[in-house]
Parts: sequence; C-alpha cells; structure tokens
Amino acid sequence: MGTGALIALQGLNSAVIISTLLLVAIGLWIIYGLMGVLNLAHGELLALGAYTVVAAGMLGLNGWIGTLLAVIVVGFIGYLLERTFVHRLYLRPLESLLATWGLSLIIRQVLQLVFGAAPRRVSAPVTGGVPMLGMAFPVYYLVILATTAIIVPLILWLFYRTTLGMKIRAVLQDREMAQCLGVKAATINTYAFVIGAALAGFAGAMIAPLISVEPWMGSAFLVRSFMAVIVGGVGAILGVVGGSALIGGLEGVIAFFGSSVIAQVIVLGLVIAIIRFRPEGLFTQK
Amino acid sequence: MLLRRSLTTGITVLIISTIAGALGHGFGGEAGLRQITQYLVLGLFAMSVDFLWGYSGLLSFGQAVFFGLGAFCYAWVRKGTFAFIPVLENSSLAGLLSAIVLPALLAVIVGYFLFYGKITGPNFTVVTLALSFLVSLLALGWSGVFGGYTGLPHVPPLALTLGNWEMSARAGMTSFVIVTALCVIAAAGLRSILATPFGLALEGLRDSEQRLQYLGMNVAQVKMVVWTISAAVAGLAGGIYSSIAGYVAYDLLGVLLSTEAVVWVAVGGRGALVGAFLGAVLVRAVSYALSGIALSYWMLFLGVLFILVVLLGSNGIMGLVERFRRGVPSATGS
Amino acid sequence: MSLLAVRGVHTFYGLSEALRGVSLEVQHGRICCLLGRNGMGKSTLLRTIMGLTPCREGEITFDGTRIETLKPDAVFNLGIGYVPQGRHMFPYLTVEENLRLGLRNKADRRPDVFGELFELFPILAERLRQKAGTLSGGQQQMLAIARALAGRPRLLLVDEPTEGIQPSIVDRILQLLAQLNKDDGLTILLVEQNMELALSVAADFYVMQKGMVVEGGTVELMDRHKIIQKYLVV
Repeated sequence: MGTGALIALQGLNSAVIISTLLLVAIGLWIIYGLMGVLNLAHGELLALGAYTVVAAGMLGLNGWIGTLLAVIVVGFIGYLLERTFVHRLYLRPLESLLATWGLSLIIRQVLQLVFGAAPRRVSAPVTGGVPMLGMAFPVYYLVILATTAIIVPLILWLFYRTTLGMKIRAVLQDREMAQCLGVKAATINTYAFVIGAALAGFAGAMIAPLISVEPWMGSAFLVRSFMAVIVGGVGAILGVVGGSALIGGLEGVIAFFGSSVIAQVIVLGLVIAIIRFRPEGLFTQK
Repeated sequence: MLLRRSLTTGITVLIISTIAGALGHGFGGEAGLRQITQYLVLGLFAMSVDFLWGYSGLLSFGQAVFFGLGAFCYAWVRKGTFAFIPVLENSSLAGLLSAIVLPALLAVIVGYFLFYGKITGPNFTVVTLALSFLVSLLALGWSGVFGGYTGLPHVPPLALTLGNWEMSARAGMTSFVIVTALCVIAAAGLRSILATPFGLALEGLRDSEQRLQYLGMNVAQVKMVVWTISAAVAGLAGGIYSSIAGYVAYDLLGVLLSTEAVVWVAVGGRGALVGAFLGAVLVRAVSYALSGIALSYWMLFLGVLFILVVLLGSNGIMGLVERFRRGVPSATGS
Repeated sequence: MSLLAVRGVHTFYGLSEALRGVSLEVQHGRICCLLGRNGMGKSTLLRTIMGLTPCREGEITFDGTRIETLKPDAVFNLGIGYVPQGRHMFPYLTVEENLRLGLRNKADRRPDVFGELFELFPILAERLRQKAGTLSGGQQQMLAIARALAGRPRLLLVDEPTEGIQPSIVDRILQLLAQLNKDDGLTILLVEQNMELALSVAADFYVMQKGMVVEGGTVELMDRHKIIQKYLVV
C-alpha cells in the first residue's frame, strides 16, 4: 500500500473519530452553551445509551431498534432528571457541577450493579466492509459518517430555523423578556435538556460497537467533548464542529504514532495552551 | 488576632484528632488507630482543597493529582528510584520534601496556563477534572514508574534521624502523634496565611474578582500563589499518606479521590479549615462503619452525598455550628 | 369602566418593601401616565402587573380577570403587552425573530403577518434580517414597541420609552403612542420621567412616592404647579 493510500485511510479513520466526538459534544454544548448548566453526567447519559443497546441485544432485538430505544430511554431519563432537580440548577454553575457530578457517580454505580463491571461487546448492526484503497473499510464507519452529516445540519436547523429553536435562544438571552412574550421558559428548558440528553443516548448507541462498553466509559467522552466545546468556543455551534475536528483530528494523528492515552494527554496540554492565548475559543469571532 | 485565630484552629484540629484517635483505638485497637491516622492525613488533604475552594472560590476537581504525585514522590525516594541523585537517597526527610516541591512545581506550570488564560468558573473545574483523569490514565499506562494496576507496594514508613535521636513511625502511636502534629501545624499555618493582607485579598477574590482588579491586584498572580500553596500541602499529605499506607497506586491521582475531597469539604463546611478536616475524618469513618455496604456502593454513597449537599444548600457542619452559635433557629440559604 | 384595576398591592424586593399598598385604575381607551421620581416604585408596579415580581398582597384585575397570581406568559396571553425599561431586545436574534416572538401564535408564517406594523415602522421592514443588537437605540425602542404590538394587546405597559434616546425620535415615539390610542383605541399605561412629554399625550395621571400612589386624576384638572413642587422637584 502506498503512502498516499495510508494517509487517506488514516484520514477516514480520523473522520470517524471526529464524527463520534461531534455527536457527543453537540449534546454537551446544547446544555452548557445554551442553558449554562455544565452537565458532568453527560458522559453517563452516553453510557446509558450504550447499555440500552446492550440490553436490547440481550433481549434479541436488532441493533437499529436498540439505537432507537437508546434515544427514547435516555431522552426520557433526561426528562425525569430535568423535572426533578436539574431545573433548580440553571444559572447556578457551582451547584450544577456538584449535583451533576453526584448524578454521574450514581449512574455509574447503578450500571455496574445491573450489568456488572466487566466490559461488554456490542456488534454493529451492519457488518462487512467496503473495499477501499486495497483494504476493507467497515460499512458501519460509513454509517457513522453519514449519520453525523445528517444530525449536525438537523440540529442547526432545529435551533436556527424552527419556532422551538427561536424560543430556546430567546430564553437563553433574556429569560424574563421571553416570558413576558408568552414563552414558557421552564418548559423550553426541559425541551432543550431532553434534546441534549437524547443526543447523548444516540451517540452512546452509535459508539457502542466501536469500543468496549463499561460503566465508567463516560468520563473519557466527557473530558474530550468538553475540550472540543471549550477550544472551539462556547458561543456558537460551529465552534463545536471546529473544536471536535481539531481534538479528534489531533488524537487520530498522535495515536497513529503512539498510544491513545498519550495522545489524549498531549491534546489536553495543547488545549490548555490554546486557551492560554485565546480564552474565547478558536472559532468564535469577538 | 492573627495568633489567636491560628491558635484556635490548631487547637481545634488537635481536639478532633485526639477524639478520633481515642475512638479508633477504643474500637479497633492498634489497627483502628492506624485507620484513624490515615483519615487525619486525608483531613490535611481536605484542608488544602478548602484553602483553594473555600477561601478563593477556585473549585478544583483535580486536587488528587498533587496528593497522588506527593505520594509517589515519597515512595520513589524511599524505594531508591532517585538514589543516583545524592541528596535524594533513601531518607524520609528527602521523601517528604520532594512530596512538597514536585507537586508545587507542577502547580506552577499548570497554573501559569490556567490563570493567565483566564480559565474561571465551571471551565476551571472541568479542566482540572480532565487533568486528573488523564494523569491517572497516564500513570496506569506507565507501569514501569507508577506500577500499573498493582501500584508500588512496600513503601517504608517514616524514619527520622536527628543527630543521635532516631525515631521510626513503625508503631501506630508514633505515626499518629507525628501526623496529628503535622495537621495541627499545617492548619495553624494555613490559617495564619489567611489572616495576612494576602489572605484578605483571597477573600476579595472569592467575593468579586473585579473589585480586586480595581484595587490594583494582579488576580492571576494571587490565584497562582494560592494554587501553589494548596498543591504543596496536598503533596505533603500525599507523602505522609504513602508512608502510612505503605502502598501507592494510580488511583491516588484520580478523579474519584479528587472529587471525594470536594465532598469532604462540602460536608464539613467551606471556608473553615477545621470543617474540611472534620468532614474528611467523618465521611471516611462513616463509610468505614458502613463498610459492608459502602464498599460495593461506594460511588452511590458519594453521589448521594453530592446531591444532598446541593439540595440542602447549607454550609455543611460548620454552617450548623455557626447557626447554633448565633442562636438563630433556622435560616434558609447561606 | 376600567380595563386594569390595581387594589392595595404590596411587593417586596428581598426584605425591603417596594410597593406599599398601591391602588390605581386605567380606563378603557385612554392613556394613563404614571409620574414620580426615580426609585418610587413605578417600574416595580409594571413588573408586578406582568407577574415578574410576585404580588404579596392585594388584587390586580384585568378586564374582569384576576391576574395577580399569574405567570408572565399567561399575562401576555390575556392581552397585555410590555415594553420594559431598557428595551430588552434579544440582541443575537434578528429583527424578524424579535417581532415573531411578539406574536401570540409564534408559528404564524403568513407573509403579511407584520404588514400593519411595517406601515407604522418602515425602518424595521428594511432591517428584518439584521441582528437586533446592531440597531441604534431609537430603532431598538421602535422594535420593542412593535414587538409588543405584534401580540395585538388590549393594554400596553410602556416603561420609560424616551430614556437615552435622541430628542428627534423622542417626539416620534410619543406621537406614535398617541396615534395608536386615537386610531385603534389602544389603552396605555405609560411610565415617563419627563412630565411635560407624558402629559402631552396622557388623559389621566397618577403620582407615586415611596411605593404608594399619592395623587391622581385627569390631566385636564391637574394642578401641575403643585404636583411639581410637591413630588417631582429633586
């Protein structure tokens, strides 16, 4: 295989890493960037999505149905969480950190009690490979790329072209005024949180076949997607896309030469260095 | 005023330690005393978190990086990893010193980027969380130095030689006394820092960063100093911990311990070093008493504590003490 | 007959009492202005009517419906439009989105839905796709009024519409309010620092002092000299 082909294949692999990261990061961004709650349990919502697929598999359900279930189940859990206690946390950053961290510990423990601590493997709903540059590129990778290419514009459309999106942005910018124009701010916040949670569940379901599913799998994704959000800039959704591309791309390239842990440590170092000189994020224009 | 405050803090820590030690010895004999001694060291660690969070408002979810690094430093020195450097041959004093200096150095480097990059609020917390997460992963992977999953066993206890006088902390009582003395000194020392003009600047930092700027203070610099002091104290606690536990592993650097320390402070009460100390000892002791349940439900226990702390919204045990002292029956909020 | 009636309303900010038993009435189809120095509770009264600040005691009746316990979104849906002090645009939303939020049915996509508004405010039609934050102060005030009108309110609460706006536009804004009142019979409760301006359009007036209404009546019979000496001179 020539160097060109190798680079192209590496590029495709990086694109898959970026896609999965982007799916997670957008959900985190909706809840943080739009609503000001830094949800430290976002990684665990993702794990819940992955475990929903595991459970569906145990019941003999097809992987696609498992993915659909993951969206519904995690979205519903998100609804319960928002109604019971997350809604008390808006605009209280410190409390939201403590409470959502507590929540993440609880979810991890519950997952471990129900499914055990041992890693689980999930098989992809589609198998087989597409011959590409002399190698078989898994079809499922292509599914992930295509899904991300659909989801991201869909989210953009939802937030910038629909009435619900308009209301969500209005509540974020001036909660009282939005209420004075008939917007039920509490309900709107619930919707936004549920969308973020459902996205995390979806991402977890999509990622599950690529990695080993463990109760504490969420931490790594929380850390990476947070870095993507912060390096891209909290201000706009395009920042999340840019941030994910940067983080995922760097990880892919560095991991190619060494271990993935080293890659993540180096990327964290880079992110901290970047924020030192561009605190508002790389992709935000001020 | 300065002297009295530090004295009160030191004495309170002494009283708590003595009571805890007596209870531990009463219930569990020599082993119980050793257990309590460990909790006291964690109390020292908790004070470093409170110094940072309670006084300057910086909530770190990565304080265990410094604690764990201190623990490994002591272990490395005592196990002769650095024997090729003459000063750092196998001596307890060198071990403890390195446990203070290395974490402080790391704090200076990390702090430079964090504070001059103006990373504040939730972002600061999550960056420190990421730091702790990745450092512990790194330690896990670098098994030649950090011992991987099994860690480094057989770390020798403290042994100090001063002229002809020799003392080894092999006996439970000796190590209990040493640790108590260190906690008292550290508590009084931290408290006296807080009573200086610098300490007052810290309170300004917690209340309003902007006001501090108007007064012409360099906010980033103030943060750097607190952060480094707190890392040094955490490192010292780590060093002592490894000498008592006799065993260090990657999880001492990790997120779980980092955030557990935050819970101790929240349970004990922020902004009062004594509260953090008490919180650590109490939470650990209670979870030990429930050990049958707590071992397999440990995270559940911690998670519920986190949420309770937020929902109850008062300032932990110290908040209750304060309320009792003022004779106010009950007021909402803090 | 009164469209809005406020009876014995008390409101607190924390422990301090901001409204101490306010009573007033706004008549159908008339402009009523609320006078008083800064910090006397005028804005707080408007916020309390909207449901933004909780009413601790007393009654607020709008067209026969008790509203003092309602949330702001319910008050809006009954037909009370609010133009707050400082305008409160959504700065990162476009002019069109700001107006759309003013509709009671926000999903209404009819192309001529803002037709009448654009006749009153032609400038807004030109700036439809621009972010509201980029408009000038006067334009933002127009937008704030247009946004409140988009919901076809029966009562308009307007708080300090001329504050911080260049004099040429001040007159236009007040003429506009007078025109809306005359042509469409819109009822308006106007808070205004500038007494001369306020009285040039208003039919009724109230004066507030320290969280209470101390004077009131029709502008026609008002003893301007006494009111100024007693309550408005700083």
